[in-house]
Amino acid sequence: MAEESEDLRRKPQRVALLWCADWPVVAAGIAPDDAGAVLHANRVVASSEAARRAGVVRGLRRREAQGRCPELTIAERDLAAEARSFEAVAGALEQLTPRLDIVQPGTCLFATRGPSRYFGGDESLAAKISEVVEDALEGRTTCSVGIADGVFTARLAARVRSASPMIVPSGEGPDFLAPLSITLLDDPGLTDVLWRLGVRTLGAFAGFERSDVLGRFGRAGLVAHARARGEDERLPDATDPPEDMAQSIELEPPIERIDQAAFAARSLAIALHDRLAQRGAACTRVTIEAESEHGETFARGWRHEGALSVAALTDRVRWQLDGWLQAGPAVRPSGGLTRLVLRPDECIPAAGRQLGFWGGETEADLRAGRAVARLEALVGVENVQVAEWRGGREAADAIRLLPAGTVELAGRSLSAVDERPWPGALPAPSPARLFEERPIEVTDVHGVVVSVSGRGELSGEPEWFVASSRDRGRVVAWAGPWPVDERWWDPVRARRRARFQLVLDDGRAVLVHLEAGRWWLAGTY
Amino acid sequence: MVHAELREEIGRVAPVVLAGEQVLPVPEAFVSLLPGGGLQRGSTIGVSGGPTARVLAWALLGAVTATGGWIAAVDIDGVGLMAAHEVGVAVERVLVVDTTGSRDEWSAVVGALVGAVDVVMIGSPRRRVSPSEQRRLASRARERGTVLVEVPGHSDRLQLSADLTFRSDTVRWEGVGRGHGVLRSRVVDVVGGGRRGAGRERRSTLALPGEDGAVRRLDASTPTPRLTLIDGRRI
Repeated sequence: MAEESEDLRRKPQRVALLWCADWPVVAAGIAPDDAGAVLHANRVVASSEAARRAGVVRGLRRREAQGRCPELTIAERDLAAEARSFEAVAGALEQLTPRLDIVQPGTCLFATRGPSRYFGGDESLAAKISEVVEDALEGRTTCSVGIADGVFTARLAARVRSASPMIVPSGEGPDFLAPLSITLLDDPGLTDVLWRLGVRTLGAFAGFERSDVLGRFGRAGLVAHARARGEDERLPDATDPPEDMAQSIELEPPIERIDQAAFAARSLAIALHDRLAQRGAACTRVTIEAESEHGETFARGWRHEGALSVAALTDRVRWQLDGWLQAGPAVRPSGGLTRLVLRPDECIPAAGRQLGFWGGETEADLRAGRAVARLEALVGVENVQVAEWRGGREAADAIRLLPAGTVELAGRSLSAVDERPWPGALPAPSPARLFEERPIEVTDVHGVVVSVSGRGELSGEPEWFVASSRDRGRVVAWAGPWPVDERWWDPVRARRRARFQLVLDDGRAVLVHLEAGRWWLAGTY
Repeated sequence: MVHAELREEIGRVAPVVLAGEQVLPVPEAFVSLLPGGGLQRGSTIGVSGGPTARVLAWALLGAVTATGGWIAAVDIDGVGLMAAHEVGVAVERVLVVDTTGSRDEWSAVVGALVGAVDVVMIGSPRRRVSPSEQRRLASRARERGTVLVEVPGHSDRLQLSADLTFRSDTVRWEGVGRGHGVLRSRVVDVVGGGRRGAGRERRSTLALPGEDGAVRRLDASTPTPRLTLIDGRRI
């Protein structure tokens, strides 16, 4: 009996997954034939087909991307706009299935059991999805569909480059996955180790004993293992949420604009999160429901691979409301929204936070945490950050900023700075103000731009520092060049530059870089 | 939870604040620059003098993070936290907030931080802060015991009217010649002033930082005691 229920639980649900290529680029309004890229934190996160042909790939810095493709159109990442424009696609799919889950803007999935039977099999369902979505996309990008047992298998099926939708027959998931690369697990920490151990395919990893994987890699390894085997990747302890966990809010007066909705979204997300936390749970899948003045109802599911934090929940509610309120006239609510419900559909035990006896969570940490929640609602999640020690040659790399909502603020000490010297790093003091992408000129006494030869020889002594027509100074002392040749083996992330410190006649000391024949201001001390 | 809230409520209504809790711990090098030798919680401070001002502000106020306090840095563009770390800030307890995308919220952001963290460091705001807004923030800071400090942000002009002011002038850099060496130490003249009881000008020459990485007074004529008892703790 126990055996049987175990088998039932491990059998993954059959799902159809729709993936629209380069969604951030589409949402930014860049046509597929134009070279365009979307940046976040100065790095390329998505690029159009034309841009990729010119060598603009994920991870490039802005100036490298522009160097490879001078006519590149650049847009800043806007997640809200991505979600908003994806709502049209999701809305179109609603004629095929009543229940749709958005994983992230550009990717959504639904269970095929009902729809597949209705449309006469997986093939015709996939064809139907493609047709409906192509209509909604109006040629802005291509979409691909994968149908398979389990979300992970379906996602890989959707990514297979083929003219027709990829359908993995029921029960053949493991065979489909077996020859694929281990790196597709998308967990660099784990796959690096496996790769070095000589485990290069999903099939090889799937061959391991579950207990061995658990013993060596813990829970995260178990999830990856289940994926590689084409099994249900939900953790064994994933549960349906306890009853009556849904949180609702009446909106009075009814809201019609997204800025009015932001605060409601936030408070609802906090209410749900706290409610679940009391039961020691966190949700991985949530349905957002809204009701308009005229009694229309709207519902959409969102899922996430890990637990949804308050910030992530808030974002999703905001995006969804934005999507509904700004949809085309045919599907838009005919009046303001009067009621909002947040319904958790799937929960996992919360990783929880162990409160220390003392020195753990202090009053000050609690207050700071509350302030963070308030600030996120005011200026957005990505604009409230805390530091994390990463290590690196440059002051800008050694300490990175990451959204405060994603880390535990209580008793922060894990990120304590490692005092050991980093090879190639300049000794203290470090610049107090850092600059990115600030071009300058450093010239010699004749006004000629100083250059450095491949052997580190200067064409002349630095004499003038020119940041702009008004901001210039005479160099009274200087040191360098300190060359850095980083990641020369990686064509995408390789950087080669020479660093100098200059002391100017107005008392300023600056750190400047010479990179790709140009001078850049990196920081002032 | 209820406990914490109750305690906070008690803290709010309690009429008497212990004297020791009213001052923030500051490094010994700054004692002679401060009226009364301590930094009153709730005061508003302006630090000017280009990029050096930031280091000065971090060095002056960073000690609070070592005892579990929090600093918020609002609109300090290109914040060099490594430099902050080098002058004694526990950077894991620094919140970095950027309001440039939502400028109308500036006042609400600073208002939310006052009372929630021990020190709010503000890069001079891009828009004008009206006198009534300033008064409101300053009085809230006084009431909640949060130090507000303004440093040059994208411009060098400070806006808030401060109880205490510091101006830093870099005198010289040490360690770099023409084509050799590496920056080791900065010598800074600091002039402290202010209003009310803090009106008298106080001057000091500091190594910010010195060769050994520490912030030190260079013009100490009278030896200051090595250990000072501030805030009930030895620092």
